[in-house]
Amino acid sequence: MPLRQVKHQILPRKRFQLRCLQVCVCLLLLTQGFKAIAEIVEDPENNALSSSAQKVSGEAWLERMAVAMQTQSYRGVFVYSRGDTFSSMKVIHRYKDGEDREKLVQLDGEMGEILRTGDEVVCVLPGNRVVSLEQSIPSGPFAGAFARTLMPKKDHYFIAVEGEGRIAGHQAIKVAVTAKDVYRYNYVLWLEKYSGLLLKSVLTNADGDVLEQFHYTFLELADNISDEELAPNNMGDVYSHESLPSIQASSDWPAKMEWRIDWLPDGFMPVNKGLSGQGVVSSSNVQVFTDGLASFSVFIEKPGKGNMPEGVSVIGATVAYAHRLTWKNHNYMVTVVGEVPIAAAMRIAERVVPDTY
Amino acid sequence: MDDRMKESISALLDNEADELELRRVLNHSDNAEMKAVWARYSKVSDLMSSRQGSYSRQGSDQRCLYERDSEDSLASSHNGFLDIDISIQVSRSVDQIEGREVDLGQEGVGTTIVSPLEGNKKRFRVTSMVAVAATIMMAISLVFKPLDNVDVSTEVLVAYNDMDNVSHAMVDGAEGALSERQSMAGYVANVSSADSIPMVKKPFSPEHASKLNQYLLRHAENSVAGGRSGLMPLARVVSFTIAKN
Repeated sequence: MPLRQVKHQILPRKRFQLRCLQVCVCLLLLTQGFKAIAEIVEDPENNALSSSAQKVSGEAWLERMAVAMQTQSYRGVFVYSRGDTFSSMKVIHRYKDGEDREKLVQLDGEMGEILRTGDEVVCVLPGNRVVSLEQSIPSGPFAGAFARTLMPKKDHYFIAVEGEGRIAGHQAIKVAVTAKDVYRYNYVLWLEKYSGLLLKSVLTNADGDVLEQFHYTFLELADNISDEELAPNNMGDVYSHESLPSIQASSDWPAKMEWRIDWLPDGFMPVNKGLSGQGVVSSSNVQVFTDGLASFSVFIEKPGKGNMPEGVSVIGATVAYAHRLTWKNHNYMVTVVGEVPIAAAMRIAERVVPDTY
Repeated sequence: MDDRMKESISALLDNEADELELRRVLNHSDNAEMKAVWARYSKVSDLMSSRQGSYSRQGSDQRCLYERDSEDSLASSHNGFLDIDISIQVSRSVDQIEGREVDLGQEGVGTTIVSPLEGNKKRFRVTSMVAVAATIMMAISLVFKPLDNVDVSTEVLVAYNDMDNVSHAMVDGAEGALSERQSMAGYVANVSSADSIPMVKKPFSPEHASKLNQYLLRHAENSVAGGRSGLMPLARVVSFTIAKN
């Protein structure tokens, strides 16, 4: 008996299955065709829009989303989950006269708010503790152009429109963004059909485990948002959070030195410097990178009592890997925090080296 | 398990899997039934390909014996993983990448394809590399996950490292190949075996949670980008604060 026949007795028969598949597809197409014709007859306007919406490429939808998230005014309530934690939050976002303002109010547990006006971010945390955040990434008039350069690329993700759905009462387009390597996660996004606003997102790892979800339960696209709605509900004294102890200020380190990151997952760009590519050099001890969807920050610190325990801490999709390194008898701590797989965070942290000159 | 999955496994072993089939198999790599089918098919492919050269020279009686032998060995295999010699397949696959002559040895016809046509050579290599990488990943994950105490042959690890180096060399250039390989040996274990990842156990201590919160705040401020990233970075901060309290 020929070898292939032996094999085909044990392994599935592809040709037979292919035939079956072809027959099934034909039947399905015929059924869907009749159904579609019937729907068009019933509601031609909506279906014309549906067809044109699905013709837009996945990348175009992501671009539309990036613009909508900044320039669309809306109010809504969403549920955010990561790991075994669920939180419901209210959001009010307004874009007016070229400036966007946002208020995020947590609806569970103690009262907490985050207020953002353009570049300025203020967190009113539970206990009326207020933290003012600094802005590291360019925004304002150039933010749009900057955002476009940081769109997720086809080189690193498969981006595909996978149909339509309905989220929080809105028609939505489903876009699957699947990582092409092991150094980033996968996303499924549902975007509001008319504006491109993100209605729902599900972040999964390579095994398909859901690590993080964001889901609107109510959303209203509105142009009538007043200043009062965006005003803080509860505001105490503002504290700026402490800056990280800088190694450069230590007397036992060379006065002139920079930090070099010898390995980055392909496609991640530093966003607070005009640098790119491998072997990125930074004089700052905090550096942030993004590929357009995922981002991670690299912190370099002097080892001390207040350091994170060495190892990997995971909260949903966010990983924090603290790693102690030595250079010429000098110790330093590198912590990578971001929405990237553990393997990526570990590999990045282990490739941070001082560059003296 | 449905026939589509079996078809995908078969295609993967034949280096004929497309992207969808590859992903389908990888997504179910933890499934015990799938592992059993994978092991059985691997065994069949391995036996067939390793004996192909001499098989055509054997008489019909010997063929029958061989068929019976292979079926018996499949039936008697309680755990397919332990019986599979992954290194043979890996070595053969790596050889294919290097463009060595591939003897497909069609039984009965005796046709020998020396090498793919020159025009298709590049595409063949790229396809082979993807298939080989997937096969090796699959093999390693199957070996690492269910059988932590199994000593994986050095050949497999070296082959994996070589593959990884090839892919990195394509991106990074060939610098630091030795250190890359040494370093990646650790990553093979880290990626494949959860035990070797230095996880900080939950619940986090108050000091740890506080420090972690600082990092998350800093990371959020870095990621906000004037609304470009939407609400997610801020939602992460609020969510962690609620959980911490």
